[in-house]
Amino acid sequence: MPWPSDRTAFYDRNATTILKSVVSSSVGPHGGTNRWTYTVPTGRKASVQGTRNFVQRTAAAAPVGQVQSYFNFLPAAGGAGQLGVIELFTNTVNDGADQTWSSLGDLLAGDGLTGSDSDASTGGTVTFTQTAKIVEYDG
Amino acid sequence: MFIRVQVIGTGTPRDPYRVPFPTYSVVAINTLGMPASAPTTPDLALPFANIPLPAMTALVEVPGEDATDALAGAPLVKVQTLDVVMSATPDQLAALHAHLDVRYAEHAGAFRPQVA
Repeated sequence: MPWPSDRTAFYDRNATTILKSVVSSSVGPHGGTNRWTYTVPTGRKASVQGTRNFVQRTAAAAPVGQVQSYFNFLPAAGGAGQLGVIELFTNTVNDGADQTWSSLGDLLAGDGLTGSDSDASTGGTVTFTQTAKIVEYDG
Repeated sequence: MFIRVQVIGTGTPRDPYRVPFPTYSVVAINTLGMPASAPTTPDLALPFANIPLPAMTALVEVPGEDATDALAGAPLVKVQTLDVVMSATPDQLAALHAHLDVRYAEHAGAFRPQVA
């Protein structure tokens, strides 16, 4: 490829902004659940430019178990791995955590990202939010 | 586009409850009816009242580019303020799956959502 490149910047290549965000308010214990998923279409790429991951206990459990809120990276070739995780083990109402990340990197065609959570407690409720701002563009 | 679909998965880290659409956001999900061996009690995250959600179904929002053409003829059911696809013919489902195979070629054959 010649230098300087004759390709335009990614944000000038038919770019679209995508916002994935789900607020799950005061939900009870549950197994791992993907609240949203984003997959890069064929011929496109994507930049995950900002995320927010939020957890707050809204009712005490008895007993409390592990609470997780996370982003799961799903490479096109297979496999999965957590990129950003909040784990909550305390049982006091309003306990929680709030993480904002500037970036989770770039995704190639077929790669995926999820916003997911789980609560292994017995009883009680937790509010979860996973948000990602993504720019998708021609690859 | 809002669609009610079957939920797959067992709620474990390697096999989470999910919907086999490539891109979606959950509006409401009901994982009741999961296998008895599942590790935790069900999630009844129902942010809106009166959403008819049978066991192991979810109401999700998907991008129009993924489903609008294939499900154009499917009937819409009013749920609160949302127009929701809750049924589709075999031909419409086949068209949806074929479209997803082309639009997400890296995962051809993998995305097989079932309208519920």
